[in-house]
Amino acid sequence: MKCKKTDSAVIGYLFKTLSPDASDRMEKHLTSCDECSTRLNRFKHTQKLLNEITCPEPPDTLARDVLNSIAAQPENRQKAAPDIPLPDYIEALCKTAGSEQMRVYHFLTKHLGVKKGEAAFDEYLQEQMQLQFTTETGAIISYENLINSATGERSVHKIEGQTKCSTVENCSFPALAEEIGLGTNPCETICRRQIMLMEKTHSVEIKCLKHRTHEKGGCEFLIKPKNGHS
Amino acid sequence: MKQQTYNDEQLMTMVKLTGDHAAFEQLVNRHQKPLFGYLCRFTGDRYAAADLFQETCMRIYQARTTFNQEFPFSSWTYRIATNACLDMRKKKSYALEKATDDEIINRHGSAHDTPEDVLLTEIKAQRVQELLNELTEKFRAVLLLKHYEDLSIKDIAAVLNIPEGTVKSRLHKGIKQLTVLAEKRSFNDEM
Repeated sequence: MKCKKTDSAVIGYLFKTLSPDASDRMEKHLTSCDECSTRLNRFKHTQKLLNEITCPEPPDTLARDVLNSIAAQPENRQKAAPDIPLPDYIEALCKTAGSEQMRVYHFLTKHLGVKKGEAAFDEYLQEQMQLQFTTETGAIISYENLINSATGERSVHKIEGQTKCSTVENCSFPALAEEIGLGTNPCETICRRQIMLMEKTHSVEIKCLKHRTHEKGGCEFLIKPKNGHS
Repeated sequence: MKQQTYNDEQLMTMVKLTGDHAAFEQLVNRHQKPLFGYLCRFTGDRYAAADLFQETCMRIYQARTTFNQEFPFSSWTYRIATNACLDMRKKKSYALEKATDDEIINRHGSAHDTPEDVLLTEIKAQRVQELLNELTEKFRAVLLLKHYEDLSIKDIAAVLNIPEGTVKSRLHKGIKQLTVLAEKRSFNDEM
């Protein structure tokens, strides 16, 4: 007697693409149907044949060659780091800047969907790009340069010797800042608005907390008045 | 200090946002083995696979701003790799690689194998690869992604941008065609 089960059902069973119920039914059916068992064995043989194909290891230089050709393209070339030492606190900020952006991006696209989230992220970036930080020498470094520093471009030579700081007074993303922990992250609150004012009168010591107590990463700022200031 | 590790999607987001070469390097190193394996099996030619690997990585980097973090990075990679294979196929056909005996022994031999064992294994592998190459690319892609990469039907549908029902249908037709081809060449009796 010819079995009514199709090849597709047998193949689905073999490749585990059936629902759990259908798979159980097929398993029971196979114990009593010689025709389906024979079909299953045919396809199993073929599946075994596929295991005969072995692949060579990738050539040792494959990944390196690929990365070199990408880096060699003019539009992908990153600027070489100039030999200008960064102040310690800027270095510490650089280490967290990239991951901060990423958290914001993930948060926005997760909650607003990709399209709206990316638009909001652009807005957020625009806001950040306006931010500027004062260095120990009194020079101004823009957030954009800070991020470039964090991502390897280190275009610190663009620091301009301005004397006046500009900052964003009103954060557009208070809920965001709170949810992702930036609201309580000194890296956010201090770096953005206060450090540039404080550093002239206070000493600022930065500790990276990424791998100790601060789950979301970031920096701890130990701020003490400098001599002559209270 | 222990270095922080990011998952693929986080790394690709860094690449998307900043063009970060170091993050991209991590991704390439993580994925080069499975991706190269997929391309080797798809083409049956490791030299073509190396070219396609390069092409795939280039395309990923160039398309970085379109990366959607809700789509797994590996699925996105397989999609780009499959498209690269199909595009190359349009330009030129990749031939099954014919390696010399020495190359085969160096590539597959282990300390316990005699040169004859190694050659026999390679000949079998080459014959199965020939069978695989007889399938149309749409069947081959589904079969490779399911059998070797162990992707779910849903993930394969996302990679190839086709409905799940079509994935199942191609998988079934592909394995049936391969079975018929193998039986015609008395493969199943030998192994």
